[in-house]
Amino acid sequence: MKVIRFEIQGLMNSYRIPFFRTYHKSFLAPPKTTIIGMLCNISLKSQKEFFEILDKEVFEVSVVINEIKGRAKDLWSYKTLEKKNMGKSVVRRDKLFSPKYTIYLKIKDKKLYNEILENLRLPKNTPSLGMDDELIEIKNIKTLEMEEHDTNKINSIFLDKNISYKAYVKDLSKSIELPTINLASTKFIAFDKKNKRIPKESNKDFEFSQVEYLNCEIEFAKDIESFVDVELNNKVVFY
Amino acid sequence: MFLNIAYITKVNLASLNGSEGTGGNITEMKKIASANGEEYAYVSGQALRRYFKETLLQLGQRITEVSENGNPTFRDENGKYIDLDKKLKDVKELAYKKFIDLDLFGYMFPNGGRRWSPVKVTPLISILPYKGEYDYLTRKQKPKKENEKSGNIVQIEIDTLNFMRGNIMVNTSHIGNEIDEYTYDVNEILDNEEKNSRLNIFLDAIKNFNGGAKQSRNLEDISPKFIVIAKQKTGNPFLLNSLDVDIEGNINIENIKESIEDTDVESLTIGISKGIFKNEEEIKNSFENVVSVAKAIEEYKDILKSK
Repeated sequence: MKVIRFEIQGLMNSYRIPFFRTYHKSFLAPPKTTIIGMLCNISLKSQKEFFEILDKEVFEVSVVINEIKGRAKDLWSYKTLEKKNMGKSVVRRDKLFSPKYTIYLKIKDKKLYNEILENLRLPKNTPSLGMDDELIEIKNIKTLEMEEHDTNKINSIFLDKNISYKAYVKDLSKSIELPTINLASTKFIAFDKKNKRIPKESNKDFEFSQVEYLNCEIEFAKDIESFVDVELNNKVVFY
Repeated sequence: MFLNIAYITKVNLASLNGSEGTGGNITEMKKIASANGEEYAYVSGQALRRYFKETLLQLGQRITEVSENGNPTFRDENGKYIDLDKKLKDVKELAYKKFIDLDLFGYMFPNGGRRWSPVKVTPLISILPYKGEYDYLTRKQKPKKENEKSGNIVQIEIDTLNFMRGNIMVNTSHIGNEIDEYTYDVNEILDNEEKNSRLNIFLDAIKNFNGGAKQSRNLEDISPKFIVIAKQKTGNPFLLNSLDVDIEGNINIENIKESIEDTDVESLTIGISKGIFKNEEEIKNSFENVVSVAKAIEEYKDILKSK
């Protein structure tokens, strides 16, 4: 199976977990929609195309968290329309310092595959993940063949679909994040019946729990479809 | 076309961006805790964009005011505030021409639309760890009895003798143009001469960059002391994690070389200030185009003129 592999490294990034209002907690890894949003942005694809790509499920992704050097809490003061508290509110926001990821892309549409590959090499816009100014560097872009592998161990993040699993720490001398589950949507409702843009809402039928961890390996209790990247020794699942 | 700018500045004694207090008489700085327990000072992207606006103001540019609702606004010829949320489409040309911040840093109005920022700024992050140092102030209070002494000690976290690194990406094709984010249609508002002059002013702001919290007491200069500027066709900020300085004050040359080798740029210039970095001579001998910081910035002026 042919996939695109690339590495990204940010400086200070934050991928907001929904439902937290005044404290914006962050996923450890960018959700699928954030990655596709970034790819559409560097390819100068319109918002409509982005939502269509999500709806048609043209992309499958896999993310391996290589490193997160640290964390910070950012404060963001903003003006409100309300007069209480002198019209000022503060949002606290988790930030990840210098996160590094390896990302794999499976793209069904051949034309789109070539287009994304070209734009990863020559991005038409400044790539960012999280907020607009949370820039990332894209490097080591490669296409490769990935084969299915026969164990149930993986080191990529995955969506929890009610399969039991165990986590093993890989290196006790390095920092560890044990598996955490957070709800992430993979599709949105962003247009009304007349095809007019409306404020986007998560499509409840496509909400899954993203399981993310650092410096661990996961073993599933039963067989799953997973693939191996022999060069980087990554065993991954796509979603 | 993009301008990719990575820079290092030097901080002698500063508390550039305040954080949330932990209670008591301590004013904290924003910091990052690394996985090995060290802390690094940082200034958020939002704060830096604010400092850029202040520097542009010092350079004689007009920036918008902020309305009661927190939206940018300006006054018409009769001194009345214009509600840009409702009226932007009527005054768009005027707003772009007169107010550099709306053009360079974008805006968001619930009803009047939004503009992506052609200038993207990463946070400024200290290269060496925060050493846990404080400045002490006394806050006087009127004593209850006449012969009593009063005065509370206030602790202010300060970062001392440190280097900080940051990045700026400028999408020059968006300056002076309104871009429809749904369709990417371009509405040209400023002519080439005006766009060029706007980019030149922003480059001047980088050269003269100053600002930060507690400036009246800890006046700090955050202008670049080492800068790498690249003109490139693509938006990849390939220098995002390349700048590093060791404890002795030597810039890591190999990291920069490796990043440059892996990337295709149209031109690249390095600027360095005298007497700041220990391996200044080695840097001058290791790269082709090394000049002063001011000269490096000047080289990228007028690049939109001929278009």
